[in-house]
Amino acid sequence: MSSSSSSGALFALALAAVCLAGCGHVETREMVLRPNELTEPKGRAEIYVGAQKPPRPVYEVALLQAFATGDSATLENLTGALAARAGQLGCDAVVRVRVDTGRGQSHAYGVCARYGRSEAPASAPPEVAAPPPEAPEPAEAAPEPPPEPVPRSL
Amino acid sequence: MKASPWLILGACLLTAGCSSVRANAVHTGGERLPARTGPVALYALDAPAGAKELGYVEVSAVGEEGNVETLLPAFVEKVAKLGGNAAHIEGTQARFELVPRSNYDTMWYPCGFRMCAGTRMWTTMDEAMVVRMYGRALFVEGLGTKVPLGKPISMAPVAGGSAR
Repeated sequence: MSSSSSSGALFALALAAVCLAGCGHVETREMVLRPNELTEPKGRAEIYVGAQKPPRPVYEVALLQAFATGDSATLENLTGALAARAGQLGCDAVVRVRVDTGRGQSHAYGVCARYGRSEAPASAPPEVAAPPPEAPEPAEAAPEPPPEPVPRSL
Repeated sequence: MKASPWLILGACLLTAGCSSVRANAVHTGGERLPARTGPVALYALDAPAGAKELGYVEVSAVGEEGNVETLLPAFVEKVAKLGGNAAHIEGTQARFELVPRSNYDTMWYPCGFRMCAGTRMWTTMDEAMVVRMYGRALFVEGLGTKVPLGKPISMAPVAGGSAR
């Protein structure tokens, strides 16, 4: 078999694999709120949609998002992606899950949470910390130092 | 085929730092606090007990920018501008809009002894995803004195044990 025919066969095989797998992909994004509380990956986390409450108290560890396009933009794929990613982050549940679907793409959001109670609230990561305000308040502004004497030229 | 003028314009806008992130915040209630610096506590489930509500915050972005990494900093910035030391994220949702997009194509073809140029224009409808994060700016008494979890955050000077 010549190299051109073998490469053609490989291309056809890859094309068939793509067609069988369908078009589209699923992608997850997250913002970890408690990096110190990330633990070993667990199995898939439980999913709680909307106002559904988990059986025990939970606290937030991260914000999760999932995007899907094409044939992958299904409810099952999106919630599955959230549950899998939450499990990787060591979360027990994804709560407040909301899924919005368009024509060719979908979006899901949820809060990656762990069972228990946390002593302190989550903080914005350092790169998210609030920047200084644009104009400082006049009351808190330090008084201006006296002007330094300017040397006179003779 | 040559590059369409819309493509060039889009590239210019992108290189100029054009962003789709929109952030809005309004004061609600009678409480008014000055803008603050320093850490902002995040509550993504329930608001803390005893928190004073300062305002409503909403940030949104289109397409690739519609992710939590982009939206959360803008949300926190608005909370801090309202004087809040805590942000309650009530939800994040997406809506999908069909946006018309004009496409141009220039082709060259032989006409007589020279080449002629022809341009055609057609419109396609693209689906754009707009992701919106919304919630409240809160002030929680004594929150600034607690050591936050996670990486150390540069704390703003705290006067008299208050986070203001």
